[in-house]
Amino acid sequence: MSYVDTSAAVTINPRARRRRLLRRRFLRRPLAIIGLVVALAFVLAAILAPWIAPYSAGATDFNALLAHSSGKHLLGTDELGRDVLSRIIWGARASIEAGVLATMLAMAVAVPIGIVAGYYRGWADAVIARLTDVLLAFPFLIVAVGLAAILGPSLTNATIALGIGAAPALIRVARGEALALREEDYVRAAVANGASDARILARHVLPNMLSTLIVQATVAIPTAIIGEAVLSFLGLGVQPPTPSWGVMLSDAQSYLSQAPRLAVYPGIAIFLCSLSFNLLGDGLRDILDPRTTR
Amino acid sequence: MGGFLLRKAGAALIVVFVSSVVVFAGVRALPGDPAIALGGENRDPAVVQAIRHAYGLDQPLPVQYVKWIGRALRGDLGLDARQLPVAHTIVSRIPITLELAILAVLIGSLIGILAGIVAAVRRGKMADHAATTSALVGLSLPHFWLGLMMIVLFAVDLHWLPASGYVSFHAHPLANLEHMLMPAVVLGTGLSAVLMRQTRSAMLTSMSADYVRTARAKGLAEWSVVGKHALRNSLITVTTVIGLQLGALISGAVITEQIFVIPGFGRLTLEAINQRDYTLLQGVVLVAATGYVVVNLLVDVVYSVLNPRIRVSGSTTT
Amino acid sequence: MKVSLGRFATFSLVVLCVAAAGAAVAAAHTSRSAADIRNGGTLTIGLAEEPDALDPTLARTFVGRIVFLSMCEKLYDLDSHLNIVPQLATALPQVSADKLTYTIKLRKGVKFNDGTAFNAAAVKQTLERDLTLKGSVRASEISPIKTVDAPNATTVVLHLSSPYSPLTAQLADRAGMILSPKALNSGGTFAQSPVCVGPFMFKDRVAGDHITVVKSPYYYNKAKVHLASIVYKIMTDPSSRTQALRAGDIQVEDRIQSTDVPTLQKDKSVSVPKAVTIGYQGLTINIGNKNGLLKPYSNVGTDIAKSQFIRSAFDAALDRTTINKVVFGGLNQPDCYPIAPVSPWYKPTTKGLACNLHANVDLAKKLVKASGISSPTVSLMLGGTDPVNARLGQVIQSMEAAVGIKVSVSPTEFTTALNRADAGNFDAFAVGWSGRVDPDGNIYGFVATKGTLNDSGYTDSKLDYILNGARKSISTKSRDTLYRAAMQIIHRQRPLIYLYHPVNYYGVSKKVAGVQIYGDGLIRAAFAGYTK
Repeated sequence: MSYVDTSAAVTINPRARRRRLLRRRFLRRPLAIIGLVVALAFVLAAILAPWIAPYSAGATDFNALLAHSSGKHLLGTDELGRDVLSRIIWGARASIEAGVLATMLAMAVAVPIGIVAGYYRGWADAVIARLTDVLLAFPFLIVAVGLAAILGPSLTNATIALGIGAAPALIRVARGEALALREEDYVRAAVANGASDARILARHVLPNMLSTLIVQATVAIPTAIIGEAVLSFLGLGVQPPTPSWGVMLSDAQSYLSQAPRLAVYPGIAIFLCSLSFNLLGDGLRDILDPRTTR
Repeated sequence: MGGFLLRKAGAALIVVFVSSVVVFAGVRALPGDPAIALGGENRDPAVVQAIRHAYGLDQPLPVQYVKWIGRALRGDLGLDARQLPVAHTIVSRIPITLELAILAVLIGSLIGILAGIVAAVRRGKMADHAATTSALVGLSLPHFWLGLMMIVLFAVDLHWLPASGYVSFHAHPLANLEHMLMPAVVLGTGLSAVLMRQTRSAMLTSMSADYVRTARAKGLAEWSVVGKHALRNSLITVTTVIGLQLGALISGAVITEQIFVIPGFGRLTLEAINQRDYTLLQGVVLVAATGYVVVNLLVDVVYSVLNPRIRVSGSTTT
Repeated sequence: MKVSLGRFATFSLVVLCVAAAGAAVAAAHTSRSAADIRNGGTLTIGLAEEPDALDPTLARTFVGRIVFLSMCEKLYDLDSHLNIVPQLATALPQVSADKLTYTIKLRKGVKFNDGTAFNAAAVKQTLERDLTLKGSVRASEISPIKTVDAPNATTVVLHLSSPYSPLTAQLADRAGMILSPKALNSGGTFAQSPVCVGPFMFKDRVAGDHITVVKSPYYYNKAKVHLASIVYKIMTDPSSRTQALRAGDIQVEDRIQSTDVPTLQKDKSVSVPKAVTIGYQGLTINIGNKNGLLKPYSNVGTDIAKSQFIRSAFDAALDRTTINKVVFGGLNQPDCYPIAPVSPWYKPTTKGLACNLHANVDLAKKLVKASGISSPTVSLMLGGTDPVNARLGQVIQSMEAAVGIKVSVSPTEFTTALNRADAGNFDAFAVGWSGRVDPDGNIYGFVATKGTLNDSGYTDSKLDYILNGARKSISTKSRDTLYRAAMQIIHRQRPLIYLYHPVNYYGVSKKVAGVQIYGDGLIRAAFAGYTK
């Protein structure tokens, strides 16, 4: 390897040293730490819901409808006398599941396609670009609503719809990055030096688009979490009686004048959950950014 | 340049054609027979069959498609279940959504790009942290929920703004803006957060790029470096982002229009899905897709003007 | 306040179960005398759904009828007690002794809203159009009409092929709306600029948003019309409708959602008239719909289909009073019958039958045991994805769980749900019926073997015999007995479990006088106005 690698900051350091550096950088970012802690808390709440929720999500009490907060029900009860806190905890499952799985699905589909299109260009790029254009030509929500309507409403289908809906934009970003990177001097140099495509893609293209991809995933997870809420809100996601924050918001709409708190709690849960992932991802982006100095 | 545009336009045509097939097939893949919807309370199978026949729903799909697309090419999208011309309905709804989208983009880019520039220039300072954090909050807020809460606060409690509805700008400009303010803010916040982040990130990238460093080294004034070199290149990214956000904007408009009961394009789409009004739904989605393709074509053109390398590199070998 | 995201998928159930409220009993809502009303002003009415084609020959929707009331007068109308009275006719029809000839005398000097004369020839043309136009929804309503004669400008003679007593009632609805021949002959689409006789005339329509009608200069009774225009605003989201009423954006609210009723009843600036409907909400149980509607029925073999004990247990587990309280804020009328208590048929046909509005958990548990099915499961399809349906489904689920019946709920978009129901692809289906004045209209179609709405796939020769007999019978008394017998069979076999009769509530600003709500649930505002 006779060429000079301009992305040296990423590759020159031995791995252990880099890990230590990353850890130190992470610990210097209180917001990222908060994000990690809160996101983990939501994930744990989702996993441990059967043990930590005070009531089961569907336990109705027709004699305590729309009850205010009390020792018995910390956040009160909803229109069917169900414990709101328990439903928020159970509802984390749907949100986390949809957020993470939809993003993974979108990434798994989009990144390879985007890189191939952007790096090789030619007919593959043309076909992929056109297909992406077709998909992108339909607004995300319309695609998701349409898919959910066609496939039938359920959490799995909503997740698939969200994943597919998020993919085209990611393909474009990955393609755009690959397209720009192949114009970079170090990639040209590698090509001139006869490096294999696989090596160039793995060593130069992918690592250099990583921070962009993380930014995109950062946007994608919370977007999918919110997307799940929207679809459930529209009746196209999680089906009652399974609790989900979107379903809770949808149920709460009818009671906004009598019990606005029913709409406030799930909204705050969605907000905090997506904020925590955003904070975490943002911190990671900063840390992984080769330009970051501290 | 001409060849480049021609290629792009040809590709756009193909996209529109494929979209029309997808729309047509997708609409028919929806569960729920429109003949049942049209029959109202009369579900006698004989009556439903008669309705199917009267609306041509019993013809083979390719025949239905060719008939539809043939008329659509002449600008006739057919009559919906209300016996109203679909094309006319769509044309009357587009300006409403357009106004909402333009206001949202204005609010979004004003806040987003400015905050992004400030954050990049003042990197690591208070202003940067404030802008970055607000952007994160903006990204994390479910905007339909934000809309709900704004209605509760500004309309129900404080009575400052109307909760919902729409007044045309012709009829009453001030009332129009009053009705549009909350929806545009709701729609614009999401956009501004994305734009702020992308502007900041693009600015940082281009500010650390060689030619900017060179410009600085040459002793150019900082505002000139930021304004002329870094910003110009950042705008390439930002233009793409706005183009990419168009889909999100339309999606956002769908929900925003639902929450604020604005009779725009988004509501029309949901109504059409809901009522299984095939003619209307096909027309709406086809127009949306075409519009989106055209806007993206324009984005591509702007992109290539801003960054000639993209255009040329199509024919160079590496 | 309620946001309408959820609403987008839900208009339909409301259409069926609450809408076409048919005749029902409610005191006419009138306030203040005409002397207090000033002239001018625009009345805005918030409609719960969007009307379909504004063409009386094609129109199907309940809300469409509300709009027509201001711009398309009919040969006959209803008064506040739901009696039929002449409107464009001068008297009730003279019916020949063989009941095959109806002679209708028309008002003189009446003009359509395009200035052309209203006469017998116009009536003839409209009725013939109703009978022959492709896609006419009216044809089946007046199908016994064989020919229409117009011997002179003010006389119309209808010749029937067989006696048909509901004819006058049909002429008091959309079939009796007379359309301007000039507009019909112009070659345009009538629905895009409808012209009839009426206090108001069509001005414009923006699909999905509003319909505007303005005071007609041609109307024969102009002096009674106070408003300059009426705007029918389409507001499918019930919360924003209520909000708009309270904010003064609209003056009349079509059908208030139950959760908003208490708030509005406390609001001193509005009044809340109500109309009890003759419809019902129930659960259709799929017993024999194996191959699709009207295809040969045979038991589908699910737990609830194969055992009538399970069906009875399902019914006994339901606490109708609690359902009404929890799901509808106690505003509907819980009941066990397809005929509403507001109907004169109710008492005689249900006399001596048992209807328990509270759950009988012990009985239900015994019945489950008696069925021999160890842990019965039922999948309940809800006809809508809106919160009200979701509440209903979850309350039923929780009540059935208490007696050991495991219910899974699947909220389904309305049209899709009807498709599935017609295809027999369900266990139980929560769906409503708007109701008909005659008991036959609420029973026959659903449980008779040949009924066109028999999604249950229920077939019972004895019940068929009884229902066919009741159709032919002329004596009210014998029909009472027959329907009571039918009801007993339905209660034993339970192809349908009836839950309640919907009650519609409306909101009217107190700044407005003269808005009337009759038992048919339509909003009558043509002669309303703002108070001085």
